[in-house]
Amino acid sequence: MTKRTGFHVLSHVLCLLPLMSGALGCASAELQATSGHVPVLLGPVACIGCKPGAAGPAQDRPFAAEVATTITGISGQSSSALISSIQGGSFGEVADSSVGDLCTGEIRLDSIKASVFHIESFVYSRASYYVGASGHAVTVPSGVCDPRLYPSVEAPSGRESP
Amino acid sequence: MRIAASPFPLLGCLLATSLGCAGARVSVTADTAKYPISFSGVIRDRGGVLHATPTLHKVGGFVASRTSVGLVYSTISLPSTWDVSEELNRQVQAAGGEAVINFRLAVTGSCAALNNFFLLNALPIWPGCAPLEATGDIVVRAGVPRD
Repeated sequence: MTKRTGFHVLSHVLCLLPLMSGALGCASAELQATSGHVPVLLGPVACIGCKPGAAGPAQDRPFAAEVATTITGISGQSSSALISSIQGGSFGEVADSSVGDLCTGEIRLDSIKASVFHIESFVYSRASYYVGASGHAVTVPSGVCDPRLYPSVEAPSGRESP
Repeated sequence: MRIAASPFPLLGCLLATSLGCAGARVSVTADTAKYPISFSGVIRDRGGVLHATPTLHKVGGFVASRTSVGLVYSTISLPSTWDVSEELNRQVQAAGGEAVINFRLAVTGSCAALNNFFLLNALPIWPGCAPLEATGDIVVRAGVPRD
């Protein structure tokens, strides 16, 4: 009886391993700002044709956004809770709202951090996927909107290119 | 009265409450990029004019991936920094592009089996990992002769 019980414990553990991994394996966290209307820049080159590291305009205000996806649940159960969030809306919306003027504002990122962390016990599992970015909003004095990009917008409080 | 002592309830409790964890943490940079990179679909030219899809033509796709390994419950990550510059410079130059827009950075679940390996991930020597994937659109300005 004792040996049988021990075998059952071991067999349950082994049987649950694939389920535990499978329940958490399809999650991800993605940082993207395709809906944004201002440049969200990574790296030392600020524009097409600009030289790397060219002195940029003065920093306006700090900027930060993050995407976090967390799955928690009972190990081996497929009914895990999926929580995906970004602070203050999508990354693009956060970028747009962080600049004072869509035509002259832009975001320059200083740091991007990504992580994956899994915690697992026999009865509890948690998987966390995280991507976060921080930087600052700047105003480009020479910035102008191309009317073709904003056909229905009255040059959102900025200048239009001739 | 005799109390039966069985090791299995204790083993069960240990299994139920014991925690294993694994993962990795990575910083992503583009410190030596020769081309502008934008997470949005918008980029400026040298004159400050904003360009997006109507005035930008896609000439290729940028794809790069990297997996960092984490040790000691993700305290140590190797490598701890991923600089996408070299791969980006190479792909943009090969495509004849001027910039990368719609840049996306994702951390995916393809390491779940390793990070989530019950019992073994309780050991500090058990490695975890963080798979990263970067994608984007390589673009040029429409109707603008390039240098």
